[in-house]
Amino acid sequence: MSTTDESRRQSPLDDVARWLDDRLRLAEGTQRYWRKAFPAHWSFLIGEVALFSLVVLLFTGTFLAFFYVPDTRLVVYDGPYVPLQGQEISAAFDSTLRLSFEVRGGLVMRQIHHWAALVFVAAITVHMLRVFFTGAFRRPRELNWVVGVILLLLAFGAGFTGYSLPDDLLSGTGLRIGYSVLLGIPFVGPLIGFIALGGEYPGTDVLGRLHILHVMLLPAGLIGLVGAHLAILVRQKHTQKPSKKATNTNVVGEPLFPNQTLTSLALFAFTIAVLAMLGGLFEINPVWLYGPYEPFQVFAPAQPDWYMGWLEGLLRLWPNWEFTILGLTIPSTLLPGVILPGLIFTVVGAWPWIDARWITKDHEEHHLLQRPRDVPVRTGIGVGGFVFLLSIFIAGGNDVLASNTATGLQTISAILRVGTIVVPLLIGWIAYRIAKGLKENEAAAARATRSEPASGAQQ
Amino acid sequence: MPAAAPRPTPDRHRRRRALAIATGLALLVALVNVVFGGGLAAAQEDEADISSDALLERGAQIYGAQCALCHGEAGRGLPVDGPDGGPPLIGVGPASVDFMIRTGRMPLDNANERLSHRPQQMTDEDRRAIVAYVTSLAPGEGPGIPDIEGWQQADLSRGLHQFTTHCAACHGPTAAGVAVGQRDVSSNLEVSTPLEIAEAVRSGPGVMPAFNEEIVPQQDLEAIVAWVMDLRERESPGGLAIGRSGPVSEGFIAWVLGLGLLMIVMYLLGEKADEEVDDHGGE
Ligand code: HEC
Ligand code: HEC
Repeated sequence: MSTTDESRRQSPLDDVARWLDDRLRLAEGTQRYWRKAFPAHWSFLIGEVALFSLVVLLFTGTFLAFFYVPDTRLVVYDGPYVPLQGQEISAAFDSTLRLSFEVRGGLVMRQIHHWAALVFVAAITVHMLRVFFTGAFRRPRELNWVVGVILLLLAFGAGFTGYSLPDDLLSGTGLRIGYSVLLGIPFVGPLIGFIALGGEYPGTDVLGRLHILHVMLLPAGLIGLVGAHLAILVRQKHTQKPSKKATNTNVVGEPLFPNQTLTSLALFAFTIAVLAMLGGLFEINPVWLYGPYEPFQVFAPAQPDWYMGWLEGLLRLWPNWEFTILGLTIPSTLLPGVILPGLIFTVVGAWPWIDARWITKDHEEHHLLQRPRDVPVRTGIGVGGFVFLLSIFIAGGNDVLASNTATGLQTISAILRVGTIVVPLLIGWIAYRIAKGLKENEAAAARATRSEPASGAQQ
Repeated sequence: MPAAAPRPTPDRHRRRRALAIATGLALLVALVNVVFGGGLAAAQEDEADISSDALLERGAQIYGAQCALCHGEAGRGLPVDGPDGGPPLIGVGPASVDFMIRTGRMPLDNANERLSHRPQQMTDEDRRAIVAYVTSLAPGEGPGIPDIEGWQQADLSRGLHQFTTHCAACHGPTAAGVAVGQRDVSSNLEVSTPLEIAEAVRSGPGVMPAFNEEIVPQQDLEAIVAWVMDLRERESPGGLAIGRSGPVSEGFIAWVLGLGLLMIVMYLLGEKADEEVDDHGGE
């Protein structure tokens, strides 16, 4: 090192940095990454919101884990919440109440955690839609698309297990629905159920198992896969919107440091602020009103958190068909509860290959994004599929819909049954026509300017 | 005042004073009545002999005018199809009749219509008369109007437990109300009075089952009433409760306020469409 460096020495921090650099050669390696280019279009930031929500989830979750007790053993409640005093409740519910009413800042942490979970999945959803409609999943990024789909699944799992932990009436009902779907799987279902619950329903070990899943395995999976997701992204570089400068062989954007770092830090701060605002101002899941879970009590139309709504909707819409094949009774929950969701996720996960093989017939590498109009078939199918998910999601709240519109429940369900099939087809087709029309118009305009540029200029 | 007016005589003076005192007294009585909520008068009337002939006669009259159209002669009922069909009322018990009229459900305008909570459609006296009349058709049968004097002292913890056991299945855990059948929406219990709640439990309006003494003993009934009233008044320690309608409204908030706000932030932070990126960076 030269003497000029010596003269620029400003603080002990520089000493530490130099010491580390001498030994680990950090500057050499990181220099490239500091200058890594980030396309700056705002829609690229949605994925970051998901990432930051996950960070908030991990921190608030750690706080909650200090106080939560995953135990179904009964204790007598003697906390400050009058309507439950003297009741026998599970230690888990007791600890949730303690967290809500006695632990300083506990309630706001619980609420931020829950809101963050809702926003987390919402951000993943929008991020996926962005990636889907711009064709960002095309070769070479198929792998990262699959990683993303698995992340979404893990997020669902984390949400579902977390929802069940407080052991209140609502969460117990959700768990019970999940359990009955599980039982419906031929051969292995009952066995898995038995193992999961540690015995017959309602089981004694279930909270312990869910807790381990929720605070260890699923977060580990999420962190690991987010790491992989980002590593692949760095390695493959960003996709970008085509422009005069941005081509298939470069990446134009803001350098990681300082520009993109500042943008991201600002977004991180805003994500924390919005989640804290929600947690501080809006009540979510007031379990003390619901009361403790009791295994053989349900309230029939229990709603799950929004991202499970489409599954609930499928279960509600599906007719009560039960049939027997080769002496094996297929319960009415198997198709809507297991097979259809499995199918949907398989199609979504395999989309890059479906897209390349049957729709674009294009197996080349792409680093430039498309616009939805560029591939009308994909856009049509995507919009149709999305509308389908939306309408079964709405069906998950059919009772709320019925009471708010003063329409009979059966009428609403009948309309929804037809609607979930007809409307997506219709809207998907319209989206296809619009995309196709736009594409053709553009092609025609391009042809016109190319063939007679003079007359084009006159107009 | 015309100049020619005769001077008031002492006699007139006295009469005037008497008038003034009488008026004052009347006003005072009226005021007391208003301030104490007419409770005095009502309490007295409640104790009036329920089978007194005058009341019965009046009840029969109103029944003939407002109810017989659907519920038939002397509460025998009419075939339930069509716009004028109603079930028999013989033996339904005072709780049912009182509840139906108090909550404005009866008299229905059209039998195909859904029962719904409305302001009471007649005077309190007329209601008592009809209740007396319908009760006289089968004295002693069906649930009577419950006495829930003690609900304010009832055990909330018991109430919460009984409510989740018996009621949450239809009314939702926060009594927000949801659809439970084609024609039936279980009510939001926001506006029910303690007596209406108790009557509903005992008589079971519409598709709601009636809970008798064996299933819901008096003590539990009072506890349930106490819990429902408490639930309504209870503050939300967590902030705005958004109608307490659970995950549906929570999901809505998460999307609109949560992700919605963040999308605006992203839009402001990032580059907009077709904006050229500055020329730094890049590989
Ligand atoms: C337009 C027709 C109509 C009129 C008028 C009408 N009712 Fe009804 N009433 C019905 C119908 C229909 C039902 C059954 C509602 C249901 O269960 O969904 C009913 C139910 C009742 C019940 C509950 C019966 C039970 O089994 O618990 C009572 C009590 C009752 N009516 C009282 C009255 C009284 C008192 C009046 C007059 C003030 C009246 N109704 C006027 C149609 C009518
Ligand atoms: C099977 C479902 C069901 C159960 C269980 C049930 N209810 Fe109801 N409840 C209903 C329905 C449906 C209505 C609306 C009746 C109508 O208007 O036809 C109703 C109406 C009421 C009303 C009248 C509210 C109004 O708008 O005037 C009260 C009060 C009430 N229920 C309280 C209770 C209580 C307390 C319990 C528990 C002991 C309970 N209900 C259990 C379905 C149910």
